[in-house]
Amino acid sequence: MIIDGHVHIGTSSYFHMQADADFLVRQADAAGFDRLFVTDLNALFYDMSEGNDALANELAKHPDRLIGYASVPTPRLGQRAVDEVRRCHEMYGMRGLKIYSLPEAPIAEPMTYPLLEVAAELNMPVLAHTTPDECDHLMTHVPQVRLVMAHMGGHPWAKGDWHRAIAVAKAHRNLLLDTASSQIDNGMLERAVAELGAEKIVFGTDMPLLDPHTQFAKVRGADLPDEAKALILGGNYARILGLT
Amino acid sequence: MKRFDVNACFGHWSYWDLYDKTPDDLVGLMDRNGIDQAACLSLRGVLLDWRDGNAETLAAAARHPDRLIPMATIGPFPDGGGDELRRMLDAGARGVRLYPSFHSYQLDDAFVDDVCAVAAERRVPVMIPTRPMMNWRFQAVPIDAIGGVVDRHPTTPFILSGPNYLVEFQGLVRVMRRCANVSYEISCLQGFNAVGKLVDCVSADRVLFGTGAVLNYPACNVAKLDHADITDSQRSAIAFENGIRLFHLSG
Repeated sequence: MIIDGHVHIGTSSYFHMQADADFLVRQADAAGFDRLFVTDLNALFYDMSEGNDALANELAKHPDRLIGYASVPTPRLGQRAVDEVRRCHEMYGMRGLKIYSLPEAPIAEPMTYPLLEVAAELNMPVLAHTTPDECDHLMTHVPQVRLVMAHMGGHPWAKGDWHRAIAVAKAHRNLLLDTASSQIDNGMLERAVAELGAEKIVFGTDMPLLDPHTQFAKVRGADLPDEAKALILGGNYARILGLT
Repeated sequence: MKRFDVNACFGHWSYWDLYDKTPDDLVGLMDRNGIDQAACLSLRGVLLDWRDGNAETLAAAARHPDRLIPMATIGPFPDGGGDELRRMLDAGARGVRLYPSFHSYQLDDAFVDDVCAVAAERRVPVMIPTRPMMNWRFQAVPIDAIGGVVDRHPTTPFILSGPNYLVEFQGLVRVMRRCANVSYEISCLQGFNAVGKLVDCVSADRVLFGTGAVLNYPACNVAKLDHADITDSQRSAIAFENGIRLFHLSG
């Protein structure tokens, strides 16, 4: 089973992205992906409840293909964000949480802890667009949460430092790395598997910002055993989410 | 489909231990990814001394004459310029890559004009990577700085690489629409169906297949082109024919 764990739905004028459920499923069919783990752009960057409600409607169109992340724009929304995660889990069956760190609003701070704690309580993996050092901070304070470091350091304010991402993931049992990134550095996945084991790496594309075929080839073309690729491409998320 | 990679390299990388390093490693990557030929250079010439790097590049191409096409790199220090490019072309190089960030110069320096004039005279491409690879730790050379040198040398064939998505993509398209002597190599272009979008903007005959190997996974760029929303004839042109034409190779 191939699970793309990093997919966006909705519209963003900044990222030049626009996608609905039908579009994403067509892309998944073309690429050969079985399931997509989806976060809503409105919920992530503007109005969390409006966006999460819209995501629920889109999920209902393809319940056998799409899995939902509850998303919040910033942990600084405090208890409202915590309540929103619980609402999305209980009302819509969303299985994960997506959070985003910006240089203007970093998340390595106590305001984030309750959000991670509720995700841990509800057994929701947290896809976090953060820096390795932010992950280090968060895992130190909320070690029980299953945190997935989006892009494994491969975004501008993490300065592309996947070596640091691997080092931090090695220090925290529940910290995983997401492969989605513009970076396609030869050997990055081989190094990550050698240091962490394939069980701590999960496949993502960042579709429709990034090209899914390019991202898929990053894993398929890596110099790794087939068993490791199978875990990365879907086995790990299937285990975490209890999918068959 | 035949593939000619216009942007390959080999050697060491100061920033981390490369998974593949040698010219033989590069050829192995090409074999595993269905790449017939690659224009390449030694990273020694980028990171340390361009003269020694060029010597390594020529030696690698001599070791794999059917697979590796030598590319020169030249900086202003020590004593670089058009004469050195002539010497490298006479020795077998098929073009030159400029790395202003690594060789400490600006694209409006007289050195650049000297190299570009020789490239025009010999009808060989000048490749300017705005970043050495698509890793966010490397600051990109502003696309407008490249537009300036391209404007000053309208008969020199240029290959750009490095721009990725969003404003970088828009800047690339702006330069390519203005300057007919500019082609683009795709290894840093990671946006959704970005090859298809670029072809819509500037036409397929100015888009070139490249991988950035050994720094990048070549498989990603093979897949990027194989799945791009373009016609098969456009795909074939990008994969091979455009590069062969630009580098004056027989194919």
